[in-house]
Amino acid sequence: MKIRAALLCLLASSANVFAGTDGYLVDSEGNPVRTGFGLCIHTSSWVKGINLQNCDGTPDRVVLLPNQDGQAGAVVIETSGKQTLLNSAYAGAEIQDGQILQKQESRDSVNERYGAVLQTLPARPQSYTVYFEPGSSTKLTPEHTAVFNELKLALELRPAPELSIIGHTDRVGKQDANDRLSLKRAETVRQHLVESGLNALTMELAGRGERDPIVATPDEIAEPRNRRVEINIR
Amino acid sequence: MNTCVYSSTAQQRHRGWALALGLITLSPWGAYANDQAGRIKISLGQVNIERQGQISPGAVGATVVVGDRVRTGANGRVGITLNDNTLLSAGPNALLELKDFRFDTTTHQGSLKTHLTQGALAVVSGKIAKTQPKNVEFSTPSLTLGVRGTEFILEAAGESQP
Repeated sequence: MKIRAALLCLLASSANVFAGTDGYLVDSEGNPVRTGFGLCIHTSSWVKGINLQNCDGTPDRVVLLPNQDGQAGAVVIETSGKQTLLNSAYAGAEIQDGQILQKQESRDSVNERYGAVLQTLPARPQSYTVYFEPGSSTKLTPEHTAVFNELKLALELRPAPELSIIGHTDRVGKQDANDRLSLKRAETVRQHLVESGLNALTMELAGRGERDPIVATPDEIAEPRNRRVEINIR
Repeated sequence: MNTCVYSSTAQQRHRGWALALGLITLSPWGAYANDQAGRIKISLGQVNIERQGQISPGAVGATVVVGDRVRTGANGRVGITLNDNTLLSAGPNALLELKDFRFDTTTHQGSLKTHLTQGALAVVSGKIAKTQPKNVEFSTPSLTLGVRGTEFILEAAGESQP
């Protein structure tokens, strides 16, 4: 304490520095004064949690972004047993030494600091759907040709494109039979795509059976919109 | 994974054998037991993948498997799409480890854990975060982040910075 006070006096007498309101010794522009080793100097008003211009180390940061629909989801930050919920667009936090300091960011502040990182996000996955005749694992409805053409164009625009081919059924029949039928439908689509010369690094097949209907129905109800294969490109 | 799922990649056919022989957890040939978890879609400047002590370039199209550490240089940036449609991008001087990734394409059950030692990471969460958000976790040396179907940025100061 005595040493710090002595240092303060020394610095204050040798240069134009002040004890700032933030708990640091600052220059006339309010920037923290740093020693030859880059360290800042605390004044008696400094308390743990105050961190002017990263004087006391760089914090980790979290910023919640709006989803594509403009709404924000939520993240829960946990540090040293404390939890903090962020659930609005551009809500941010700085985390250091077990302390969480909430901070509202904006589109501009995020773009300034993270614009290059955000530009490096891969293209959003896209989904295409083709439909099947009732009970059939091989007969696609005629609209599939146009969908396949669109899909091929979209694939050409993607680096290292990958496909997931996901079959679905309606609720006619038992669940395990529908699991098999949905996978057969996916296989039919894979064959069509391979025959048409489509190029992707991987093609994963999955059958989701009747789990994931577009239109919810009671059991044993035929629904053409649920007899489908989704082709996901990523 | 579910029996309704298969893939045309050679790596996953090897995994099928490992499963059939019951070696999946004991296998010394770890590379075969590891499924592709994702793939690099964008790679700028210096990007490396560290896997079992080996370093390889993180080029566009390179696969990412569980245990990989993806590192970017001072001029590096990388964009990765995971198999559940999670999108990740890391800025310069980043070190990101994929600690866990499992995704069942039939049930959409799975788990995802990453650790960001340093650098900035942008995330658009995928299908696992919709189905089983409790199994999705992003961490840095000082915090753990739970995710509920969302987009966010995480930045870790790391040891090398003041």
